Amino acid sequence: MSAKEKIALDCDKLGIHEINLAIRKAATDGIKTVEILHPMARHNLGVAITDPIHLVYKGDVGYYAVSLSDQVTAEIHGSAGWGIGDNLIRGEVIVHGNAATAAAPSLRGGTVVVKGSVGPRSAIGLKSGQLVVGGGAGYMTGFFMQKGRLIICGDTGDAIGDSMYQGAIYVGGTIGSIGSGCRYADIDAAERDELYATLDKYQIKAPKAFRKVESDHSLWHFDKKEFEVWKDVL
Amino acid sequence: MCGIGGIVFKSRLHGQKTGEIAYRILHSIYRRGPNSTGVALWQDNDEGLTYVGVNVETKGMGPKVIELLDELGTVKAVNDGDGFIRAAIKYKGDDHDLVDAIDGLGKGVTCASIGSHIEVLKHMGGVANLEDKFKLSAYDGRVAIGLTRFATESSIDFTHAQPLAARGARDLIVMHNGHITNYHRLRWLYENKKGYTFTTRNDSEILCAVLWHEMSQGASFKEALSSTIDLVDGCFSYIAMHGNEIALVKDRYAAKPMVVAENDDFIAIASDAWAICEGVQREVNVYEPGAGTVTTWRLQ
Repeated sequence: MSAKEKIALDCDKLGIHEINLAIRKAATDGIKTVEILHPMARHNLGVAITDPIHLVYKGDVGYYAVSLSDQVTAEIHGSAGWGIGDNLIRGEVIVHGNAATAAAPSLRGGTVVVKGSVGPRSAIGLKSGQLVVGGGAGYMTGFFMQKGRLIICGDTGDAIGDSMYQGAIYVGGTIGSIGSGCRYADIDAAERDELYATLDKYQIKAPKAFRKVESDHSLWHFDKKEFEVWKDVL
Repeated sequence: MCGIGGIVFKSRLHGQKTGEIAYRILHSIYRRGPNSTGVALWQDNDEGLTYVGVNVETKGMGPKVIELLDELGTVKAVNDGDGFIRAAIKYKGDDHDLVDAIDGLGKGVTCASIGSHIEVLKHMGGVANLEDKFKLSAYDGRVAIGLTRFATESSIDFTHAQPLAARGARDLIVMHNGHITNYHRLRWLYENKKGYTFTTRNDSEILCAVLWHEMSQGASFKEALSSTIDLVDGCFSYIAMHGNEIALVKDRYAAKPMVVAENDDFIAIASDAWAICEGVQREVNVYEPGAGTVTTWRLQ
């Protein structure tokens, strides 16, 4: 690979703002890959990148890595802090470790894959795209989902999918509880095939079966006559 | 937003110096709270000393505080940090008498903490001031956990800096990142019905009041910590220390961050993993305790 195709940025030598500017410039210049060395869980590494580029993080990242970005692909060889891939429009982020609270929030498209587990409120406000989790997911994951797909191979905490509008959550392990305005749904053969194909693509060990959670539409319209329904809603 | 961070060594024998690690963690976590920095240290205290911290908001009162401490007991070591006094005294009297005497010295002077093992240091701004006034990096005991404060509720001064101690209670302190929304109701309740006297107007002190009250009613430390999850409304990730126990408590929504890195040598705790990495100067594996959990460690 020629020097123009790949550059490396060392977080021990450059500030976060400098790193982001350098990634942005590399993307504009058409460089294909940027390696980010010694990230040491620093925050905001690789944000607001809107030209195509591939980012390789050689270690743990802090909050909001690969956020507010478009057409970016990234692999994180470590774990991620809060809000990995926040508001991604198109692209793919693969986290080889775990991800903290609110992984893949408000995705507008693209895919975030976490090989390990994710924290509470992951995929909050998902608008499109998908979050694929090899392990378990925390409390209130899928909160306020509006569209898109959430695949969790392991167990979940309570209130999964609370107040979701649309979209689908698939859980392979034990579900702590489903949130307000949710119901269990059947999975058809085509859906199932797609689920297993997705896990196969990302080399994630698939569980034997999935349960699907979707919106029951009860919170779509507010009616004060139905106060009982709303009483427990956050 | 505040930053919490520090380290607990599992053994007296450890490689890196505790105070230096704590300095680096608090320096890193300063980005979450620039107003003041405080730290709780754990002292072996073979000599049977009482560690006293005093908030001195009024200029020129420092010598009077030291004079009082020497009247009540015998001052073995003292450090006037210009706003906060750190003292180690020989004291055989009643703890409430000690606290009442300090608080009675005049406006702006209050007892910040008393302990047989837990010592509190506080100063304004970042950790550099703690280093300048109290030489934090020289500490090499087993526990140093601190808080960098981003004030949202009460005054920015020494009194409202954290860690906060339960008034009159030996070795019971809290460091709180978050916001307590039913604070006014709980404050009224604990002040008027439960017999707790508040030192500050900081919403975080309600955690001290609840822990003190529950334990005075016979609850264990862990039971008292669990009761805060039910009684206290709002968001919190807080550290509490009592005697040789250290606890991390998260509200039922896990709204505030706090991660833990644990290995055979140490437990490092911080609002984010970055601060721990900077503290121990290498990458670490962290986990984040879940919503509504109480995690405790006991020094062996």
